[in-house]
Amino acid sequence: MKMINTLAVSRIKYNRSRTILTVISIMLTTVLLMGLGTSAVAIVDINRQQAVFSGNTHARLLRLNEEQVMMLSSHMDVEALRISNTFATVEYEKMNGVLTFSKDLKEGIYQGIGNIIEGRKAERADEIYGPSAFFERMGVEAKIGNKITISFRPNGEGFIQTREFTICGLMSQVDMSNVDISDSRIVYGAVISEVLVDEYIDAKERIYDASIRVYGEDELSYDEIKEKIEAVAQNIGCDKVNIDLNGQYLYTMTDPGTEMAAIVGMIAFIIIIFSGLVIYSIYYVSVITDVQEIGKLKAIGASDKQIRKLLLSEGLRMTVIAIPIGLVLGYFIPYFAFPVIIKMVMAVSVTAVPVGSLNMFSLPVTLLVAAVVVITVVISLLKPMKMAARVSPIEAIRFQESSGRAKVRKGNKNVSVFKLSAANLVRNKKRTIVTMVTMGLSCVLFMTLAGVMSSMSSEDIARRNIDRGDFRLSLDYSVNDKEYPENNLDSLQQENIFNKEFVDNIEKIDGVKTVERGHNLLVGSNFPSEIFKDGRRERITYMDRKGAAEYQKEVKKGEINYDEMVAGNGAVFGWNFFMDEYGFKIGDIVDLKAYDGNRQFSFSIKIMAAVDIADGLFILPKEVWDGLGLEFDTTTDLYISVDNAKYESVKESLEKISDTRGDFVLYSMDEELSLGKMTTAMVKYPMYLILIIIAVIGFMNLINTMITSIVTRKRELGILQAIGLSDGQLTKMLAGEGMVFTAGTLISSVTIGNIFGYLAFVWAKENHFMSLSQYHYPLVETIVLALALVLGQLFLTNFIGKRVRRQSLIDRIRSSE
Amino acid sequence: MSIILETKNLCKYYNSDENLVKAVDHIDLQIEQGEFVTIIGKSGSGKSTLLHLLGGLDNPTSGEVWVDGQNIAGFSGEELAVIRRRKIGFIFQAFNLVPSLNVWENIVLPLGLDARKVDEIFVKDIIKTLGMEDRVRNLPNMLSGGQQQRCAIARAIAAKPSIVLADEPTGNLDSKTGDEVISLLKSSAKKYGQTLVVITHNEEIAQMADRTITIEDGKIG
Repeated sequence: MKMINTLAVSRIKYNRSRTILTVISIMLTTVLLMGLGTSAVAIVDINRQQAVFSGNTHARLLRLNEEQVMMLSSHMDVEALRISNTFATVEYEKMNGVLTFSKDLKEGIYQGIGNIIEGRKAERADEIYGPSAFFERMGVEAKIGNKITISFRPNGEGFIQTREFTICGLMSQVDMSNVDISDSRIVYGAVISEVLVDEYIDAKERIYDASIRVYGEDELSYDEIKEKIEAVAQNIGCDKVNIDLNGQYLYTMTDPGTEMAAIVGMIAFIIIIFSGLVIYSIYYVSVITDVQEIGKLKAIGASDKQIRKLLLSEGLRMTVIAIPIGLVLGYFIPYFAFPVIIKMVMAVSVTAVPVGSLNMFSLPVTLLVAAVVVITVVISLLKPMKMAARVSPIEAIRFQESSGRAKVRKGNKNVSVFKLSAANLVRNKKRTIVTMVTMGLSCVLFMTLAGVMSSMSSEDIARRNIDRGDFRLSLDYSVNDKEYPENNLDSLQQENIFNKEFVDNIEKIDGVKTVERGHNLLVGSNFPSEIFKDGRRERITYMDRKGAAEYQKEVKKGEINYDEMVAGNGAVFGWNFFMDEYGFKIGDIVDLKAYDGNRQFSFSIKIMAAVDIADGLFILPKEVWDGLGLEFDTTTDLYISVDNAKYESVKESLEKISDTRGDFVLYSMDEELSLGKMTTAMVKYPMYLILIIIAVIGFMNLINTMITSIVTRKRELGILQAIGLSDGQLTKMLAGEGMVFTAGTLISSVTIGNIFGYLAFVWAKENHFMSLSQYHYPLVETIVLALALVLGQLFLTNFIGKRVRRQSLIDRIRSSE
Repeated sequence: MSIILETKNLCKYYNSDENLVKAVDHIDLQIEQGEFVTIIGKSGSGKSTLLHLLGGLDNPTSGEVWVDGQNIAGFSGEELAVIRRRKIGFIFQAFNLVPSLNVWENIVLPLGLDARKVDEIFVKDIIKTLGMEDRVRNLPNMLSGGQQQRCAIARAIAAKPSIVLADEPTGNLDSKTGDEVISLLKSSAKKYGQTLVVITHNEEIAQMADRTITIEDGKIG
């Protein structure tokens, strides 16, 4: 036994390059797994912190009346209850401001943000408290005792009221200082007293949102709590639609790790399979080339068992060296990367809260990673060990590197350098194939994820707000404003500001290429649906044949047959997600009343299909839309395409127009893009880091095969040079061999890899991962991969070739014995 | 007769840890075209080094090596490779065939490296002379030692070099096969008008040569 260990150590030292490559592979595997584990621990910790910070509410029940609130406060399952009410909207410049009111009916709701940090709650009608941002936005210094005059509309619908308030308290707020988004997308809120609410809104007309906690958080599972909340809601007659579960908090508290464990387990599985293959391949190749040595050992009396032990001992010794390094690196990469990522999240997410110091170290995770790596190494060694044990002593004398089963070779009349390369690869068929498969696999993996990640485009995210063109001007309208009907779309359309003159003026701006219009029409209905209740109205729009084809790709229910729809007054339901809630189904015939400016008329449509997201409740074919005989301009959006070179100046002009009037919102592509970029970068870069490490492990394998193939042929190469192979031809021959690996790998990665990539994209899209919508071919990734492979390969052959050549020709020829 | 191979004041020294090893020490040598020369000497006398210098496998420390009227002493690796594949054929003790190529491919390999077209009639003639007709498609590991060496001889001759250098070509063969191989080598060299330089321990072989050179401690004895 001692002898075997000594032999193992000396073999580790003797086969230095192989040792280094194996150690690096095992180490990188450990880095990946440890990094993954550490990240998971960190994410669980962040989620916990976020959940605690965002408050301990289980759910919010929306749109409750006074009576429902009373039932709720006396419900036996309710542990804590806070009601709040959006009392009024603030009318101040273009600010999105609201005044709210809240009250604890059953103590126990805790919030991470929005707690009073100075002063007290509002008690009198002329008192107000809120985050300092609210007051600063209105041009008043956020200081207790300061007076502020606010114009507001109770319930967002009543007549405008103006009153003076005294600031009586300040609340904690999300730090928005490093968030780069336009002001129009931030909502500012402040809280007033119940006395003030009483003054304006009769108790019976108030609509409350209730934050509740139910009993049993510690014992119940996520689903059980969810059921309990739904039961409570049903008891008080609150529709399912109006339940807003605090999913993040509930997940974290009831079940902190299961979902995470599943995802981590899946990624870890891929890494393990892959690394196992690489380690297997390195050892497989080394056993093939060590046949003579193993044969000699057996000839002098080593048993099968001892040979197995020898390889296992070698493998485990390298693992012992590699694991600690891997664990340390794997811990520290996320340790330093996470704060950076968190900072990026904070920059784009308004809802995220500051994260305190992270607890990322977990002893069980560390031990698990070490154990998994050891097991992976042992399993990868099983087959090579078996092969080595089967080597017969005879082969020690006879073996010529390949198993030599082939006796004859068809061969060629002429021999060239290229054919020489090919002959060597064919002779070492197994080695060639094993190396190509592992290399190919890592690249397939790369391309698969690249397929998903390249589709995760910031442009797609930006396109959710700007369907086409570079800018979008969107009419600022209401749908159901009873007090100020002049703000409703049908009124605005009577004298649409997006009229010909307006559009002409925009078209005249230097650099504007085209201006396209988007249309919306208000409709009401007697159809028994919540959405049309009490004379409420919704928007509908239209599509052309081309648009229909686009929708058909996304269709969730039914089928979009454009001609059939034109013939049968068909329509696509635009919000599939809510279809059941709103009580619609495919085949329903819906009688609609159109609000065309000051005209109204009736028509009916038949629902033939449904899609997830569209710019309207129903989408009609253009022919049907045109057939309605609309008299007013239904434009609601202008999509502006510009000359790239003049983007900035056009933006300036548009901003100037939009600043002077508050009746539309300007979206610009660059702002949307930078928002999108941040969002994608956070997912993309960590993923690419994993991929690059995987690629490096794969490359270790190629290096091993190349070195083995060159070092074991040192003498053969010497002979070739003796009979006239020049240095140039030698390099060419080695590069030729390497290129076969490269070509094989490339072909498999662009074929299989891209197919898998597409499938992965489809899967990710189905599961709403990063709201992917369009497949983008990973062109840049493919080119980078190809270049990296070819250049890496050339560098490698040159490097090894040079090292071989450093030894004199004579030594190489003699090195045989 | 013209001089095909000549050395002037040829030296090859090796620096080992403490002392200088003079493997080849001021050797002046002239070999005529078509001549059959054997070099004999004890092991370590420097005869292999001399042969390597003659064939441009190694660079001399000082002195000149003239091959077919060219001094190759200062040639680059690339130029030496060209000289080796055009002017010189090597035969080694350990046969040194390329294991992934079959017999035919091994034989025509030097031609391939030189991007020359294979003179099939000539190569077939060599194969016939050496009695390898039924083995052309075999891989080297399926051949006996004698067959492998015959294949190596064919390889050395196929490129029609003016000089064939052989380093103990019979060292790994039994004496009967060894004699056979040397006779073949000699007759084919004669047939194709080639100069033959053979290193050997074997007295019998030495006697078959036109001339025998004895090397001792790096000098001609």
